[in-house]
Amino acid sequence: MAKTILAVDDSGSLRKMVSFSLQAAGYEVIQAVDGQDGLDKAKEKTVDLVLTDQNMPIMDGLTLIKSLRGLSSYQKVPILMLTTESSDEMKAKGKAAGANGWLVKPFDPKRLVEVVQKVIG
Amino acid sequence: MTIDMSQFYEVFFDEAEELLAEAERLLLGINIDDPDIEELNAIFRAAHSIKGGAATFGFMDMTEITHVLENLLDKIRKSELALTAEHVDAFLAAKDVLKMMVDGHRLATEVDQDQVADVKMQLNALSDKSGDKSVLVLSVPVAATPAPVTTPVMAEPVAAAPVAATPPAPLNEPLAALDENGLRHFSIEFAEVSEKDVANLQEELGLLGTVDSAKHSNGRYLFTLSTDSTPADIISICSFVVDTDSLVIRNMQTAEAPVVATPLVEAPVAAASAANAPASTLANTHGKVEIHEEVGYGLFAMPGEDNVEEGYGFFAPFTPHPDAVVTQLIGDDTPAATPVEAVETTAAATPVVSTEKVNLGRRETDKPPAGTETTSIRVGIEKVDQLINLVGELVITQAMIEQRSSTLDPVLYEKLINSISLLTRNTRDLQESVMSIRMMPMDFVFSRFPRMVRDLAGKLNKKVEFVTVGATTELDKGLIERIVDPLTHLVRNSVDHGIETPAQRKAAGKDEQGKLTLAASHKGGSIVIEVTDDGAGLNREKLLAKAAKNGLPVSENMTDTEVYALIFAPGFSTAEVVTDVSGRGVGMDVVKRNITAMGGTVEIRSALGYGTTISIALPLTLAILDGMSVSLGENTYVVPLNLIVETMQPRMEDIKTVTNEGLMVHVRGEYLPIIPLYALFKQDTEITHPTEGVLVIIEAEGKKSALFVDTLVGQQQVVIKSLETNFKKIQGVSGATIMGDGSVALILDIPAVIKMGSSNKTQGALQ
Repeated sequence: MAKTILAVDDSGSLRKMVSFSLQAAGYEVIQAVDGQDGLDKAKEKTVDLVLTDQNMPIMDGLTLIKSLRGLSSYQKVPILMLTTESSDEMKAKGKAAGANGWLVKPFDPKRLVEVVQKVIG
Repeated sequence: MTIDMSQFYEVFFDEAEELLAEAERLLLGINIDDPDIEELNAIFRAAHSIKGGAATFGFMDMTEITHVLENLLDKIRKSELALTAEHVDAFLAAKDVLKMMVDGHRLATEVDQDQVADVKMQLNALSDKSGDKSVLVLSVPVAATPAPVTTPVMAEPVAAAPVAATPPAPLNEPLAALDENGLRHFSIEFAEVSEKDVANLQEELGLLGTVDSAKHSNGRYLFTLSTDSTPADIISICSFVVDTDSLVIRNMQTAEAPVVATPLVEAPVAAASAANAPASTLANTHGKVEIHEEVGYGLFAMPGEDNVEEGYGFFAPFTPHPDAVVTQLIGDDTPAATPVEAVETTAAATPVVSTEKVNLGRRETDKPPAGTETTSIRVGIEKVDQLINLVGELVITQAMIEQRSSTLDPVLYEKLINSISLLTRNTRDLQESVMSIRMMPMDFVFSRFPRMVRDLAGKLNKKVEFVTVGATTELDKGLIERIVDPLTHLVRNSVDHGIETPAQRKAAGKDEQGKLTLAASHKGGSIVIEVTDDGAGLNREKLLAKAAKNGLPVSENMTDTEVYALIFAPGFSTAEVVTDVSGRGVGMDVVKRNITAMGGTVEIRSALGYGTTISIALPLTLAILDGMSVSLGENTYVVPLNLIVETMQPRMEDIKTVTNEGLMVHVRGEYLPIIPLYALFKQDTEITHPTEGVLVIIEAEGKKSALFVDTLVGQQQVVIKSLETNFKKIQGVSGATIMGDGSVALILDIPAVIKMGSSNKTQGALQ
């Protein structure tokens, strides 16, 4: 069965690009427009991987990651941050919040798929 | 797998435009002294999102601007920097440039590079002032500036000089030190090419120094080169063989380079990172040099190999999926003793994170959830026009059937007649729905003015409050597009000439802040757009004096409306000083002409000292006209209903002959010239005296006349057919239509008819 990825980003174009690339690689993709939406959708269905943007309205990526880690079903689900902010500080925050890794925007769709495959096969 | 990124461009452009518009709206409304943090966050996010998208889709020009913008905004929202009017101006200017770039990419319109450079300079100046020199250089056109090579990445943000402002460092300076043999060591990575090319390249590079080559499992090649040459030399050699887009050159210090490949342990990672830290990455992309460290790319390595991947990293402890390629973390570009380690041990405490702000409150413009994204479809305007045209034909056919059926016996053909009346109703509904497709809210036009008024007022040192009323009023798309220029002119005039300076206003006992209102509303079959200011108003005496000076025919007896209409005369300007903004005396006549060409009328109301209202009345659509059909001999003509004041059958004593003025009719104290249509169009008719026929009092451009026709036929909506496209332009006729009986009727161009009438006076005299 295809693995499901939750892609959280407030930018529609990015979301579309991420979804398209991952779907082309055979994954199921659930899209969410901000942290809160992402959290709601993550609760509805436990996904295999979460990709989240950091800077979003309503709930940012870090808060989403922390909230997800607070759920028993998301203890072991890999979470990657897709972010333009790749400062050490941001990485430290991401790591502290419970992210498993980060991918700097802009990224090539191929690179994204590569990374995702490394994480969940 | 290849993914065509261009398929996402349209979404990105739409999104960027939306974000820019939203950012502008917020910037215009922002309180500089006490900005709302939510608003600042939203503006920041707009810049941030555009930057992310632009970088992803390869619009580097936009990335560059948004990056500086984002940095400044970030400082401001974190209260590290106080917001000033200067910032807002620069941000608005940046918004304009970004919009121009979006258009440039999307519609291939011209991008004014001077303006771009100005904005960059402005933003860089503000960045410099804020002490922020960390300007992102994602791409540097080599032609403009020699390629800067970054200084080694340190724990502190890299202090890269703004490209445009500071001369870049010489290429060889920040390079790694030469080793004891006087050589530098580079890793050169590129995408798959043919074996022959690899061999060629190896040979070429061999001329520079010692080369080793290796091929990765991911299809990319990796050369290591020890040479005394510079990266630029390497790039120029490689560019003959390899697509420079995929080329990544790293400067490595072989002495310390061996990567400690101990999985999932942080300490050696840090050591490895430290070793890697001074590495500069160069990637030549078609005359552009990318400096990856500045972007903060992480480095990722295969076991036992040098760094080959950049752009992502995994935090330890993290075990890749068993099915996945076995990889491990060697760390990012983080030098030793970075907060990563510190946080690692105190992950639970996370003091850093607690300061992170959570953004509350959804803005109206935030994207709706993905599922509800497609609530509209894009259709070519020509398809819509074709639909409208077809419905027009249908309306005519339906009218023909209706007319034919009226001769049938209602008892005998009851069912048929009922069906026809149902058809009539359905056709009308269909026509209305179809016409509504072309309708757009006036907001489309109004939304551009707050910014313009703000900028103008700033330039003229005036205080202006801008209000729009009825922005949801809908108007035909064609008209919306054509009303933009005239309205822009009127608004500009109002700010420049109408509204006084704060000092003048104070002296006149008014509020220092002037008020400019742009209102749209439906009135009957037309839409009325009004530009109202509470400024000085028009000065009748001044206008008359100016008109006399310009040689225009004036008299003291002219009504106010007539006097005000003088400003529409070509070359007329009452501004004593020609300002930068307006007052060169061009324009008002063009405004008038444009509006008349749209089938509209302009009217001015003004009170000295209290303000001026310029009122534009436009037909709702250009495709359908509410008309009065009149007959003349055997022909039918259509007079636009909105230009008809009244119709009358004159009595003999009301008709006067005035020397040189032809026939006049006396209507309630006014003498109006009679324009006999039969004489104007040289038509045969039995009815040649006004008392035998009907006078249609028409008004256009402030002038009234009495159009003399045989009889009135009736009032109806007609579908306008262009005479010009099907035949040729005829003076006095604006178009044609097909009547219910299938005959063709000409639609009169009333302003032209009035003009023709006044030049044909003698013809109209009674024989």
